[in-house]
Amino acid sequence: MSDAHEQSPFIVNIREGGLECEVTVRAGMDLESTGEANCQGELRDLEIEITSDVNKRIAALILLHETDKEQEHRLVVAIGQEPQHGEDGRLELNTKLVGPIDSDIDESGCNSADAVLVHADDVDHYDRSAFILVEAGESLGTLHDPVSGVDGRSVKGETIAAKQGKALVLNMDESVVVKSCGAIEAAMSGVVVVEGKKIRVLQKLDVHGNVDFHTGNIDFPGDVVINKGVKDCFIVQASRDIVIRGLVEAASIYAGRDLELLGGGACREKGELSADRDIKARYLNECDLRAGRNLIVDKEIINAHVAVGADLMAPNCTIIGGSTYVTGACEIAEIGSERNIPTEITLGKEREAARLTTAADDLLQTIQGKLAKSQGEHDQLQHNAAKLTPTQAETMTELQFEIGTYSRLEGTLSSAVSGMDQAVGKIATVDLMVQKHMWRGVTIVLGDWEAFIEEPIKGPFRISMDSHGKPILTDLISDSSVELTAVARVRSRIVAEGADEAIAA
Amino acid sequence: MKILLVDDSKTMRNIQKSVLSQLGYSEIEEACDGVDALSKVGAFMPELLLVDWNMPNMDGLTFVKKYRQSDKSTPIIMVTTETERARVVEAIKAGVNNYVVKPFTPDLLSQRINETLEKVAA
Repeated sequence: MSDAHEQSPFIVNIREGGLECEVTVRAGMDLESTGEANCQGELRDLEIEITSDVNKRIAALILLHETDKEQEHRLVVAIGQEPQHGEDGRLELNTKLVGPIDSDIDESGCNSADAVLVHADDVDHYDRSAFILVEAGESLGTLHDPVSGVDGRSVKGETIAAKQGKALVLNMDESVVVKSCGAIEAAMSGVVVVEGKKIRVLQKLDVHGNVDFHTGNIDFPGDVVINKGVKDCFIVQASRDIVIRGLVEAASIYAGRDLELLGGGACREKGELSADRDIKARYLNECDLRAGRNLIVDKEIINAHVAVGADLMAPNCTIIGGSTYVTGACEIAEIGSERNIPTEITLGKEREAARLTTAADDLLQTIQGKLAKSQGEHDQLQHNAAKLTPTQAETMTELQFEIGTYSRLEGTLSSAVSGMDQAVGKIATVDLMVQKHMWRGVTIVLGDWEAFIEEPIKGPFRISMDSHGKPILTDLISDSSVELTAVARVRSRIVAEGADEAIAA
Repeated sequence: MKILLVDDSKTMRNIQKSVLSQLGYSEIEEACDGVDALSKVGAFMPELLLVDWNMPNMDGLTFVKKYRQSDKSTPIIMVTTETERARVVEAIKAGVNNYVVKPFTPDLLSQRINETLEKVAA
């Protein structure tokens, strides 16, 4: 047997990881009639699956060789099936969350101001928010299931395993729910924090720095902690507690529960500090403040307009200037100053109720005036009731209707005012305890009395009402009481108003 | 219940509307004279009409006569003045169910409306 006979005419090359089998027919080979069978045999030896498709390709290769034996010919005769790899489960976040998430978000959910996608022309910079706030039930995104892979097959018939998709396991707590359809929803209102596979809605908003143009105004359905201050003209609202560690400037703060101003407030008579429950403050300077319940102040209240729904507890605090309404008890170190700064303290009144009562009284007077006018005109027509012209008859009908309407309004308003007075009266207390001094220039309003302090009074003392409803001052060292008239100029506000009206008349 | 107020005085219509609101009626249409009322009855299909006597363009009595040509049953209350009281019989013959004389109080109007509706329902 010659060398030419020993050398196989075919070169078989399995490549692409078993997905292709290429056969080369050497140049100059005379395959004769057994070419196809020989080629099949060689492929079988290599365990390649011989299918009808493979046979067709072998036939084509042999035919190609027969047409030009002097050339080398090659052809891919067997093709396997590529595996289709699966896809891992993935988290698709809503557009609202995507912008800030791509940027640098810290633990609080706060991203840098540069990452906030806004158009400078059409935005109120105070309203720009660096926080992704959501309502309970709001959609956050979709959790997509993994996609399974389909195995491939080599030219030898072997399985080529496909990579299977893995489910994405989200790290979340009860603040987020994933529905069976994959929809991700906020289970509670709050700020969204996304860190990799971790997604949460926090009910406490922790602002690391100041509330300023970096954060924008804040309106949060939970607790807010501001680690620095609040700059001019910004608004912070929270449905629960607010704690501000730095200074509150001329800003507006509204807490649904308690408000803590650890750095104090210097509002320059702008903005408003308000809480439905207690307010604690280091100091208050030129602030307009409303506490639904108690106000606790450490150092001083200067030129502030303060309304306290329950007690003012400030045993080390000085109040200088401004006006202070306290519905309940009041304990203060010092009121007014040696320079006789006018300072007004109203005891046993609720500021808003007092304002509403005044407005209602004004309205009542207007209604009573109109009622009297309509009644007068009606009475005149009534004298000629039998001889009324059609126009007069219509006018009288209108007057009767007006009288009925005004009478109803008068009754409703009177009972509302008296109901409000009674409601405030139930919680109102006249009880002012002063530890150190009350200076000249101070005016104390106690129910229907006004007391003008014309000489300093040294503490500790208490001002309250005696059993006859007259204001008295009790020295807390000797425990002896005198009528307030003994130390201050006191007048009845009812008598004073009557006198004013008489003068005006 | 759908009520049509026919009166050239907006104030009077407002008074009537207010009384009707207090009685719990809120589906109220207004017309400023008989012609306006005739143009509205077809679409509005009132279940009670309060009609003033003296109006420009077409007075209340003429309106009632024309309206009764097509609708015999919907109750009508005529709003009159003392000087028209003598002609009330004419109005009743024309198909008015009840009347109220100006000046009237809201209570009297309310009473007339109630008694008219009760009579019709009986």
